[in-house]
Amino acid sequence: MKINSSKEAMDPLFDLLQQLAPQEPSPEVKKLILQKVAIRKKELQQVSTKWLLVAAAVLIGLLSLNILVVKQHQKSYQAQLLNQMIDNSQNQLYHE
Amino acid sequence: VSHPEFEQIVDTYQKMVYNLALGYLQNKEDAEEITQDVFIKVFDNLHQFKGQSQLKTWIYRMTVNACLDQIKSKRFKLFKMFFLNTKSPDETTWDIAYHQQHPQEILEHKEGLNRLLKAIHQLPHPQKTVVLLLKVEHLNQRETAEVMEISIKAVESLFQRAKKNLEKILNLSKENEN
Repeated sequence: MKINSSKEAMDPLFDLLQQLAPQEPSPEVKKLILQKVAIRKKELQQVSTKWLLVAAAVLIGLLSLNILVVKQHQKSYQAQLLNQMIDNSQNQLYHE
Repeated sequence: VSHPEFEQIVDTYQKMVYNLALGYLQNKEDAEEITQDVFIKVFDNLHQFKGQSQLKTWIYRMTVNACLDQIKSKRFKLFKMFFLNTKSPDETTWDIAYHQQHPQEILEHKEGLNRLLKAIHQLPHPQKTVVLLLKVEHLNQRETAEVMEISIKAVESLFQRAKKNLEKILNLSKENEN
């Protein structure tokens, strides 16, 4: 019963609400949206080139670090080998 | 998405977004700001749109969320204004958002509509959203349920509660006038 009474009371008002004609936003709104999107696109492009450069720099850094490590490893391995050879030849001399 | 394609999306949906925001916020400047924000979000997230719902539903949902965020930030501004004693950025906000084909009819029902729009504005957000989507945007219950990501039954019950609350609010305002 209560629902019916509220239905009766509200329906004419809702009917009025349904007659509201949609309003047009000002033409400036579309202009601003497109401007902002164009700026956004530019920013995105700038950011992507910036990140590409950063990624390239990091890659070069990592590669040069890797080369350094390999070189150092090579040097220490050579020194170890030399020491071992000297030890071996000394041992051989001692036995002879 | 290419520029002409995006422009077409703006052309198709800007009126819809603007009118929903206008109904929600009842202020033209805020509605225009929300319209801009929504389309920037659409541009940013269009690649994430999976096509599970219609583009229209997706944009409606974004608009409702943007309006809720705007209301929250406005509340925060009011809170700051009250406690820090700063000036309100705009106090000329409550112009009523309607325009009708029959001016004579508007005059006759202007007062009733004004009161109804103000009463709708006082409803809890889910009820307000249901009323605006069903009665101002003319969506059906299924579309409203999709926008709000709730069931059709929930839409029905929210609408019934909204009706009762609106009646209470309108009766109260009448009593206060008397």
